[in-house]
Amino acid sequence: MGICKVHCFRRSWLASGGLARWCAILIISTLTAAAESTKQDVFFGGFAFCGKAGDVEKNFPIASSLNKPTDDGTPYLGKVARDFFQKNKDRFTQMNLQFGVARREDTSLVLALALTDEKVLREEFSIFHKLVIQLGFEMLILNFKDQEVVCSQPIYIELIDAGDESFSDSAVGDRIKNMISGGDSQLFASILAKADRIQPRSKNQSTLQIRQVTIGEKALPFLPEKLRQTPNAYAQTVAQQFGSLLSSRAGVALLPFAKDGLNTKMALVFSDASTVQFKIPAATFAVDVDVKGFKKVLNKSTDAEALWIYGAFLGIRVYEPDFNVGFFDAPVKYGVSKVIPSTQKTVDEFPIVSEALKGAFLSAIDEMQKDKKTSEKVLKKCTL
Amino acid sequence: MHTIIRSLLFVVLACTLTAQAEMVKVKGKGEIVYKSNIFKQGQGSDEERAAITEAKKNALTRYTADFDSARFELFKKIEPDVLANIDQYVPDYTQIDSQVDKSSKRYTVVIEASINTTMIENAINKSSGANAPVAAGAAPAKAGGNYMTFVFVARELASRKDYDAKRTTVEINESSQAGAQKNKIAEDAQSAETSVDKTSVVKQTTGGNTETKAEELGYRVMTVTEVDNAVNSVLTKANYEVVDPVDAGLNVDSFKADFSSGSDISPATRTAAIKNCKDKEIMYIAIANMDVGLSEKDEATGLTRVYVTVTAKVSDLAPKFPKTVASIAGKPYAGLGSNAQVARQNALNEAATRSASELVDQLRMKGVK
Repeated sequence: MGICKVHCFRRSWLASGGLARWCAILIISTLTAAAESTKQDVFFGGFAFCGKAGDVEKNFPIASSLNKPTDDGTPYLGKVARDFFQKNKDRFTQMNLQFGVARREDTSLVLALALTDEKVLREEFSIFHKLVIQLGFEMLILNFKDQEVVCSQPIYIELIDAGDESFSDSAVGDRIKNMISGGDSQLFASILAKADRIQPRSKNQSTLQIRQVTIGEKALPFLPEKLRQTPNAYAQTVAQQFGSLLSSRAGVALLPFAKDGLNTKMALVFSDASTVQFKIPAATFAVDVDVKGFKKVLNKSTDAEALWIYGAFLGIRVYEPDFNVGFFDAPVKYGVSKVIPSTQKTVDEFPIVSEALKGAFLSAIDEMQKDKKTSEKVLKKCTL
Repeated sequence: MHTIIRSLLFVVLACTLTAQAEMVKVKGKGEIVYKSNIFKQGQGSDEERAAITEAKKNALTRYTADFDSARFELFKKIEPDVLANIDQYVPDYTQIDSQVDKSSKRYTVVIEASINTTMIENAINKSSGANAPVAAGAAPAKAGGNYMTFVFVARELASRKDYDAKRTTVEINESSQAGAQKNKIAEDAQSAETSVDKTSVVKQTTGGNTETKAEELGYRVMTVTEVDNAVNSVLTKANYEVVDPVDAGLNVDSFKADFSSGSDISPATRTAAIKNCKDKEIMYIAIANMDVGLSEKDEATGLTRVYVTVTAKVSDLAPKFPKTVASIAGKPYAGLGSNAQVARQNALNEAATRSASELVDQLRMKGVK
């Protein structure tokens, strides 16, 4: 009788779909565990300067001067980066971020924070001194086994300041220190904003690279003297800025911008002074950015003030580089207005055209996303 | 339940196999002329599949274009089989673009193909292995395989004696005088005046020769365990029966002594080595000298770079007179490192592995197994 009851119960339990529910729970928990386990182990590799070891002090004079050994012997930038990533480990949801010494059999993937660009522009106007600090970083996932860059997330931060007196190197150093590691660190805020998208790209994922940036003649008069003399340095900033916006807006897997276009190597000098050279693999798709120029037009003028429109003019081309298959090729323009009181004798135009350029970048990215061909054939394939 | 377990095992197995295979991404372009009047993309038609196949073949061609000549010749042997089974060698692809030209009825597709390079390597190894058919005109493989021994010595400049140029100068001086005497007699014939105009010419001829005596170079010669291991590994993987030179009875010190002052081994060393090998039925001997250059700074990375130049020769000892079956003439390989010692070691390892691979490719091309 008892046995019969058990059988009956089992039959009715089966009939009521209990087994099916259990199976569903089991499958879901298995899939969740599988998803968790499919997250790749990535070891934190530290802070690095991009470029030749001998050029670190020349290319990053202020940042490298900050990188002095701390109490435990770790260089300053390496320590603050490590502390930040350790503290916010869980925010990097797309990978298992590991710390410590990686064994050969653990993983070949390493996450590194690299400083790629340091620009300090000091200008003197009639009544004030101006300071612009532009820092470019790359969050790089590197494959140490193949010595190859897997993917990168460009990060661009900027600080504009003004004062009655000129800015000394130590004053600039303090500001850079704050931008990187202060209480309101711009750098770490930017990294956290992208943390859930930083991940190793899958084997079949396509990549996008900003291949060429050209600065037109008509852009030069609006640039500070230092950048006017070295348009290539400005091109690096433009690539960094556009890449940072593109990765944020479109969530695509990027490869680092190579300054000379054809260079497929990227050397990183880590905080412990070790230098490792990585290969930048051939990108599936390329983007050329042509900053054609800036223009200002007087819109309205009264005795008290004048309304000027500053425009940025761009050309954006998205293509497949091996067979030169074009996907997107369009001019983009964007204007910002600026009211200038008639009493103001000097106008600092660089921040205004920079704002117009940023607007043009966002418009271009928007156009790229709206364009069905580019969206379907390029962006979707590169989305992380 | 069994089905689920089977499926899971299959997935695990597939993942394991995928993890072992090395994939390289290469782009390819395929084009076909379609016959039907209407061509619709994305239907998975035979014509679309044919275009994809063409694109895969194009990607493979682009990949093999980087092979050196010996490797390319080996690939040529297996190419028909690879092309016939292209889906196995190119198991995966991403379609980048496709276009239809209605006027010429052409359908073009661009893909990024994942090429299974491990499978291609295996196919090359198999085709040139013990059971492979022998190429026309090549020596047939002997049963049980043939033994091979090798001596790879590294050397770096220890001393350099430069001689001053010897200059011999010959100087010939010639001088001559030419002149005219004028006599002038006065009208009264009582007095006369004589004047002489003289021109002297001095001719100097210089010549001679400069004799420059060739510099005398002295090398520090060594055998490197890592180099031996690297060469051994390449030869063993290629199924050659490798014999340690000491076991083969070779006097490695005499090779070192010969390479310490010149770029070739002496007849005595060579004769003794050949005799020893023949006595022990070792059919092939590979001899290489690796010149380690001076360290220099690599401009791209700031690291130290060292070049190693390899000159190597493999001799077949089976015929009455040994004949060269593979050779490398002065090929440079670079190594980078944080200091000169690390760079030198990296360059030697790179040179050993790559030169041994190149020799193996040349041997396989000639059907030497």
